[in-house]
Amino acid sequence: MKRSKLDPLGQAEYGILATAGGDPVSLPQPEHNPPDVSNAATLPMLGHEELAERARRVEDSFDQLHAILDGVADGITAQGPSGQVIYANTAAARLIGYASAEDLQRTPPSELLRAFELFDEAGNPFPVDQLPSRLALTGMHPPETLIRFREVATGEERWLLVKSAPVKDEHGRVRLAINIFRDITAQRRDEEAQRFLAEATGLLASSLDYQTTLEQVARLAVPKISDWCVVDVVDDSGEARRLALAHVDPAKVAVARKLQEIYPPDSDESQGVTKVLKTGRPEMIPEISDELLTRAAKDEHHLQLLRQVGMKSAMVVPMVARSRILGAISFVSAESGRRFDFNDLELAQHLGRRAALAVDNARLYGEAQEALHLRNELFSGISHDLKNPLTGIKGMAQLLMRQVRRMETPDRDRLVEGLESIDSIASRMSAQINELLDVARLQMGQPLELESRPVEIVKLVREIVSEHQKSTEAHNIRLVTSVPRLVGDWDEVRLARVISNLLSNAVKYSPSGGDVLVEVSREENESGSWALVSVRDWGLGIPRDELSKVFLGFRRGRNVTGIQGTGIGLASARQIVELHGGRIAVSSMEGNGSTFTVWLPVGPRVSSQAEASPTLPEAA
Amino acid sequence: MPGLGDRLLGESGSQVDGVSARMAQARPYRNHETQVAASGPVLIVDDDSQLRRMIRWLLEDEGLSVETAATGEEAIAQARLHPPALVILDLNLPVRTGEAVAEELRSVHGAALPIVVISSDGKIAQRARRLGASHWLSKPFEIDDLVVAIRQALYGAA
Repeated sequence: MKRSKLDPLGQAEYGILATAGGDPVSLPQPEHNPPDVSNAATLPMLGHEELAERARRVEDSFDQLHAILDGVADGITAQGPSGQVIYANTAAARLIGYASAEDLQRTPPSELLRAFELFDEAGNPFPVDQLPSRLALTGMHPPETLIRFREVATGEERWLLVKSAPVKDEHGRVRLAINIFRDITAQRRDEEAQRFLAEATGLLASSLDYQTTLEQVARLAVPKISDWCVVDVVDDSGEARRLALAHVDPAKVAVARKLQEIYPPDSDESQGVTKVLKTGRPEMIPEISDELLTRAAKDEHHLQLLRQVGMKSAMVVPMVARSRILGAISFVSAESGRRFDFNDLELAQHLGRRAALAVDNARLYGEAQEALHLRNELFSGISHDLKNPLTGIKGMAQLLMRQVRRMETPDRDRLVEGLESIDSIASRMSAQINELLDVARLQMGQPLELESRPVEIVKLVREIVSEHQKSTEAHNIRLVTSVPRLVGDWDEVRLARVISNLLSNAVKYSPSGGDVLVEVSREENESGSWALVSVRDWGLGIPRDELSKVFLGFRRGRNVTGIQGTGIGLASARQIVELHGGRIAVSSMEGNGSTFTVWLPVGPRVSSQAEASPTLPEAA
Repeated sequence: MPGLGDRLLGESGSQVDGVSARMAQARPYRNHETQVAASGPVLIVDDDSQLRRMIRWLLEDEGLSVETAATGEEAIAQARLHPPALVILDLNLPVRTGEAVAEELRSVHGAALPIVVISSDGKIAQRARRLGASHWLSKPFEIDDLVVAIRQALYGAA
């Protein structure tokens, strides 16, 4: 007795596709027997030819009846008074899990019932004596009844709408029960799917914490959609991360985790999550055979674990939003015996899109929050940076006013020195404001226009060093030059800002004082002629893992606390250097200071930045 | 320290801008007979050199002796050399916070060491209270307010 497998694509719910060709179905005796032409003698009125013609017509009409009944999407059976099946159309045989109507008819009623567990709509066991066919055999006309059939052997489930009616003879005795089954499994699943989708969407929209909501969605998916649900997301660095793994049975989850721990998925896998994350296209394996497992297994132990999980059918859908692959959701059926079809895949893809939207929204929100936070930090940094010089200007002005008011003949030297101080602080503020405008322009993606003209960099650096030396007593800023003069076509103000920034960092981040070494030299190599300015300190240094980030905006080392500043200096320094066609690099050791080096092209500017990049040892 | 109160009050009385109104509340009681000379210099701790120079001139004009420091480390070293009568402390110093510097100075020079906090930090009042500063001034401040605060902290005039 061969059990038919359900159509994995689910296109044959009503058995329509299975009726072609007309199985040799037996109709109940005696109607079934075609007329015997040998009885022709008892029909003397008819000639042989006419008899044969009639027989053919009767036979034709039986064939037509078979064809009609087999063409009906619903399953139809007729049971005799003792309950034995005396007729079944093809759809009925298939619905009950038999290859043919004959197979079904040969099976005793008791064995038929043993093969199934029956449940009502609420999930309670359905009493056999209340089956519509049983009631019909007692002469009743039972109402249409919804019964869930669970095949004991495979665990497969079907929802059948059963209608039965008695056929009585002229004495009122029940001769037959005619049963009609309608398979509404697909509708039930569809309803369940829609409910699931609505619930999942609600969950996803309920919070911006997508990690939690995706876990909840995975738990919601089992066992309604699948026995397993796994969610993988791609994080900011492009790495896939398993966010959720759900199964109704926690012991199974443990097996799956172990499986993943021992046999992590290869990055070059030609199918499964890795492939979906790469292609952004869904994958479905309607039927996972043992052969497939054997092929996929890396060794005997792996195969054993894979079998333990008991995968029957699987689908993996991508989470795509704004053309970016954000992750994948995998659904695996195991003990339920469910085979995924294209309807399931469609549902899963819907869910994937909604989950992707939720993840995308949450990430965009996070980025916006981060940007807001950084902007607030920048604002408070700017106001701090501007209030300090303002204090100097205001204080000095008040002080000078006091003296002028108080004295007949004010101290001329002090007056000049004080006014110079105000002027120099105001210049510093103006430079700071220009720098902020540059930063704002660069952040908005607007290019800066360099105001280049010949600049003698040795003199420029010497001036900056002397200025910074004035502001610190604890540091000894040494300038070493290997050339007396070095002229290039640069934007003097912005270049001064870059070098000044490096120097103030060197002073700031060597709080215990000590040497700061500034070197100016010239370098010739295959990429051209370069002016080199390096600033070396022996201060705090930069932690190794933060070295690559120092030129990004708003960064400060985590070993730095209590040092003020907005952290925008190095980001804009890099942009200014690169606009000149040069390059800036850093090397550092935590606890032993940092060296920042700037390469600037000497001579005619090369148009492309890439071409102009000097060959230099890889920084960081 | 004669003269400080005289000059301060004489001046503020003739001021016409908004400073005098605020000064009225903070104005010290004029009683220079009871004033005692400060027992040490005023230590200015701020990483802005122009600001240090401005405050130095201001206080020297008031007849006070002044030492300066750009960092917490320098401040502690200076205080060892010249134990201060009062510290003017910027809260946002490089590396070590004003709070940490205040704590160390007090552990060496006594809990009673008066500290006048100056800062552009938005939470200056809270921070100043927490570290037990006698006065605090938000940058940018009026120099007269600073003089009043120092005078009150040094001589306890109220």
